[in-house]
Amino acid sequence: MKLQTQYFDAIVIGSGMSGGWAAKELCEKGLKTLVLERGRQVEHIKDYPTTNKAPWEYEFRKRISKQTEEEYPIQKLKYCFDESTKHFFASDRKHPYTTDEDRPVRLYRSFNAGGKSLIWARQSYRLSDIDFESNHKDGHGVDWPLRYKDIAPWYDYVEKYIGVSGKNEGLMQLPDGHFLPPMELNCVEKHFKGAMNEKLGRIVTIGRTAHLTVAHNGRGPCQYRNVCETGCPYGAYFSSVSVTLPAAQVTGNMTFKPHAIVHSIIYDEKVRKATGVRVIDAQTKETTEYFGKVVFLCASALSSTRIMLNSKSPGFPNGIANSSGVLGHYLMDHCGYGFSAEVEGFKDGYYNGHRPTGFYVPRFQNVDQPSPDFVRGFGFQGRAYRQNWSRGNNQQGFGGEFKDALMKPGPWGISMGSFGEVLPYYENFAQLNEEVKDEWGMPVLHISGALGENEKVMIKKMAEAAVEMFEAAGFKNIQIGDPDSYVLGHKSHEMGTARMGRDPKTSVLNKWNQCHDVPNLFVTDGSFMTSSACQNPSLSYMAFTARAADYAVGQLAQGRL
Amino acid sequence: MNRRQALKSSATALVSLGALPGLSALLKSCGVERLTDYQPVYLSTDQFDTIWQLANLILPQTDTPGASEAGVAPYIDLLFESFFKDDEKQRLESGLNAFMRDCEDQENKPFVKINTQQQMKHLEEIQSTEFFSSFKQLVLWAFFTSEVGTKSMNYRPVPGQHQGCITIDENEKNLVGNR
Repeated sequence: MKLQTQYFDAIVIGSGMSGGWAAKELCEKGLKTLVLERGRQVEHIKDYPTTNKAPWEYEFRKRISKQTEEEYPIQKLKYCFDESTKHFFASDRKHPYTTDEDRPVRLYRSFNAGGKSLIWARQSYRLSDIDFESNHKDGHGVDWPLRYKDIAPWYDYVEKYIGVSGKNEGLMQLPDGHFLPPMELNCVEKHFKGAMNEKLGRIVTIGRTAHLTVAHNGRGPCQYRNVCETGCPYGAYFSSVSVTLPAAQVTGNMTFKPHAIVHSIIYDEKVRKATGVRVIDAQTKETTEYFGKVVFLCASALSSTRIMLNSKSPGFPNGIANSSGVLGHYLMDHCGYGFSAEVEGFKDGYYNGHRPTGFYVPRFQNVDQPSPDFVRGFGFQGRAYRQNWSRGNNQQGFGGEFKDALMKPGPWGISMGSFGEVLPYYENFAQLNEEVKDEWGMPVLHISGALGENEKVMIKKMAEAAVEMFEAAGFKNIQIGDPDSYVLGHKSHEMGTARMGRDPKTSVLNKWNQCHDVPNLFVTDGSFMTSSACQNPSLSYMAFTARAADYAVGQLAQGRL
Repeated sequence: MNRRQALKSSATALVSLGALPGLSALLKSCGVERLTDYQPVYLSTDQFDTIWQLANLILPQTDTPGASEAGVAPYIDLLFESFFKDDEKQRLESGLNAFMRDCEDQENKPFVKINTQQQMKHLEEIQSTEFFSSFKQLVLWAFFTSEVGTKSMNYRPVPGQHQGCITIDENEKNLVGNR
């Protein structure tokens, strides 16, 4: 084993949604920053090999081959996984984890530069004080150590920089933001919006999406191709590969190291600080130690938790900064499933361009008055569309007229999925499985999770709410998905395993994303989340990362770290 | 312009399917009359020719191209060779064989040798079978995701703009891209 040593001001572990922001902020504030990425490099444009390919240019027209299925038995369940995107997903064979048969957890992972910021759905919503106060008010989980006013300026900062298109609605449960012009709802969605507003008092708004509708910060506007998850050569949606990592690069302060798997964080008992990281080269398997004054852990919730659990020392026998024992626990996601209906009429209405977002129905439960059935709430995301040729699969007939009819737009349909808040449960957890090691000799994670009573009630009520909404809009033949099809983790919003809190005995991080136990170790991916809310979380990860970086640099300057 | 393009690419598709003139002469000289010279990779020529004809009946050429112009049958042969899982392959193949056998039992001639009217009658008869439904889905997918099929609709991979609500007439084709 060859040991080398190198020194930096800051070390950032991970280069996705959070790591990209940490890299940009720390580099721009003048810190010599080492960014460690466990996977390969992905360069903007150059490494989007499929982005201009037509379906017939794939051997099986984008459908996944038998070999791909064997390599990605879990990843293939993700809606955007196919032959055009598989290279941005981590091989399940190469990167195993274990789970309980009766408490399965599904993890979607992207182990390459950019991480899941390359394949996310780009929905960008703020949390509100309803979310930040909920744990305190209803007693589930610990209190968030901060409130909306503390993070609001950082939401402003991030939105203005990345560019989010959307519409302000003046809602208590979904704070307004700084938006680029919104994309347009289609004819049926406009009708749906009107009916919701009139009959149920619910809001339907265009998805707030990290897509540029106009040129912004040197990046081009969306070309409405809707093949975003192959990488966007126009840089029209936010990814760390196209936005934050290049910004870090131009400062001259970033050293970017791909194929660098962090084994553990080095802890110095005497000074009670993290002094660096042990890194295994993914290709040569050699170990190197890197040292820094401050460490930002941004590897995605469960990968960060794995690194922390694997960082054992006499002071922290159960993982670094884990004096509370809650590290790995309180795993959350969003729960939900799908609904669809047929729409009569609107025969001369269509749309132009492939819009890369849909409509959003913000949470409407437990906002003004408490629900008798459950705490917290859920929202919906979906779209209306004209059916294409694939409707022929379910129709009788064949021949020339049949074919010519299928070439034309069919009747309208509408579909939407629900996103419900999952409460933090100690029993939903990840721990090291010392019995199973990966090819780099690191114990894999054993992850165990299930929905609790509140979610089980809520998930039933989602169907009632969806039916009520579709019926109010006059939609027909309503189809309700299978609530039992949901598996914890399926929404890829895994979070909460190193939660923030006011009390070091019951939480890992303080309000600055700083470990209570180890002041120069910051964790800013989804693991910090104290509650899950029901909004897509990436915008919050970015805002909290930028805020934590600002705080860390200030503390360093004052000699406190 | 769509039609011109489609015709042009269907010609290209035929060439790329290996329709060699010499081979055709050879086949005829052996006394075997086939509708196509394509030599299947996985399927037998009898199976292939049946699929070829079935696909053409399901999606015939009209003023837009049909299954043969889009190379549907050769593509299905490729799927048998390298895409389908064993159970899928067995299900489809046994359905196809049963169809061919039943047809020959009734007509004393293979499906491909009876006239179009008779062929249509057999197709009508099997409409509600599991074999026909999965085979039809396969033909639709193979046709509408092919270059020829896609380009006979409103193929716009880079629209450059978005309008949520436009008015169309009954001639409007499906808007399709690369998703």
